[in-house]
Amino acid sequence: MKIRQAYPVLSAVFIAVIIFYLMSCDSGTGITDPPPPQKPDTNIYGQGNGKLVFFRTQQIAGPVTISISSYTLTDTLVWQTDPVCDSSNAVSIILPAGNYGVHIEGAIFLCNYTAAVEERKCKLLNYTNCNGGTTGCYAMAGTWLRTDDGPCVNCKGLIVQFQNGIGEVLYTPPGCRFPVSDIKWKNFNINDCTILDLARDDYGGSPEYQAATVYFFHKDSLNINGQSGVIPYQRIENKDVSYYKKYYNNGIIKPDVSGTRLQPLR
Amino acid sequence: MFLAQGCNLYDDDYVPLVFPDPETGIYYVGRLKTNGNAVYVKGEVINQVQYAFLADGPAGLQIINVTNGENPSLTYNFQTNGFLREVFIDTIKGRYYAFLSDEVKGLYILDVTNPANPVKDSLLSYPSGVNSTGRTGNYLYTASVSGNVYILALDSLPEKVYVINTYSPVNPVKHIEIKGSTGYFIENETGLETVNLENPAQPVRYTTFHSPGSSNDIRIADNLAYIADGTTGVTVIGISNPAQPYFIKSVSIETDIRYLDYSPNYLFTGEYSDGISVFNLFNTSTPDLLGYYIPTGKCNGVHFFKAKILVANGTDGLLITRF
Repeated sequence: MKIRQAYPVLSAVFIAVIIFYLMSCDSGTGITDPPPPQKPDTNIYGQGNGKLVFFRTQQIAGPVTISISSYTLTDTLVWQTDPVCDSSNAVSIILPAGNYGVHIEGAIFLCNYTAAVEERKCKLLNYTNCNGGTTGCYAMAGTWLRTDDGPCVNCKGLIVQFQNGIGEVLYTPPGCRFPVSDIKWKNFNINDCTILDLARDDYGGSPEYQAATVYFFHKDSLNINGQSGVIPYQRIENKDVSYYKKYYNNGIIKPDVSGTRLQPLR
Repeated sequence: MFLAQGCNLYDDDYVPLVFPDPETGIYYVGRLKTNGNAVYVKGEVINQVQYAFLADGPAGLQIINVTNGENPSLTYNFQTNGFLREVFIDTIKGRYYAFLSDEVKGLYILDVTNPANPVKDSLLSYPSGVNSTGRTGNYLYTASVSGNVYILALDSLPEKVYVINTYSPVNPVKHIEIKGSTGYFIENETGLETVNLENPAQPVRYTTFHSPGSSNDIRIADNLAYIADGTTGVTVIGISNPAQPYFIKSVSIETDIRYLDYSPNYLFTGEYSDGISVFNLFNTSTPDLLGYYIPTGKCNGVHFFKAKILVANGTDGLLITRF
């Protein structure tokens, strides 16, 4: 009698075990297939990666550092011909595919690229003369020599020292309209490479700060490109900027005259 | 409009043109009113801060922070208890010194390396005070009001300085200017006296030169000297041979030019009741008026300093302008 009463319970346990067994099998049939063999990865740079190779064919003064992603590489080689991408000892880097900003600096050399790394590919980047790149913007601290008159007669040879965010005239050639200690430049913005450049009229009057763009040829050579024209300067001495102090009148001109007087004829 | 109205100047509809204030070429930047009578000013950068050292007559020396020209602020006041006529700043052994010419008390020497806390080094009393000082090498020339120019050796600073010699000018010296190994002494009556300082302890007179005006002040630029010549204007003289200065020309702007400052290619003038002016020197022998500014108060000493024209503005204190 007791055995009869246990039949339904035993049947339920048996059925539960069978169901659990069947559910635990991959195939559902209780028979498991072996995993398929993995395809071999043919990307020699690693999955999803590509390679960039940097080279130049002309000497550049000083050590050349190449900054890309979070890496800094040093390049000392000068090639006679383009290196073979994958079989040379040119400076290279393997990175996941994507676009990268590349910043290359020598003692005076300055160049920026946006380089595209492509999966499985090796690409050469020839940075000689900054071909195809842009010089970008750079700190202006130091002493600058004006190498051409531009629109201001006798101003070739003007020397401007840029320090603490301000470009002050240190030397003025005879007859140049900018006096020593004039504030020639101010409000330099390294992000968009703009500056306010002081202009004066033929007599040295009418001071006006004009918005200008600074175009670097390299670290020590630039053009100030503004309303008055394009004026070239060469850096003749480097000095660090310790702090920025904006003090000068904010470009506000405040005529405040309480009298008049005779003026001589010019 | 006049045609349509038959040139009726009294037409009620006529609206006169309003012209903006004329720009005069020099622009106001800032001011600090002091309680003295500012007669002379010199700018100096110390510890990357721009200071104006203002000789404020009876109020002594005012040291003013002019880094922000729009908002100058007083850093320190040093009372000389006389009448401070002139201030001369220089560095010796890496320290900044202010030589204060007080026309009543004499010569004060202050260590102003920390402008907020100057230290008095010496007071050299002279019975009738001092008008001006100038330096070459380790020697300071001190023009006493009574006449003698005392030559002090500075190499003993910060210890006491001492007189090593005395020079007797033709007349009492109002202002000393030194360029290279030549001293240019501005004197009453004489005008200009040039002095050979090749042996700085033993000055030797070159000559004297009387400009056409009142010879109030002088600045040297290469082979030329510019003299603040009172109502005669600015007088330009040739000094390529300091033993034989020669007149070139005077340029008048019908004002009373009493003080001068020179920065290459420019000349700045303090004209007492007539304001200040700036001249370009693109033709170095012909100062060409470029701009002027007429504030309230008297305009005495001027100094073009860090693109600012500092003006000792009499009882109105320090005036800062630009051009």
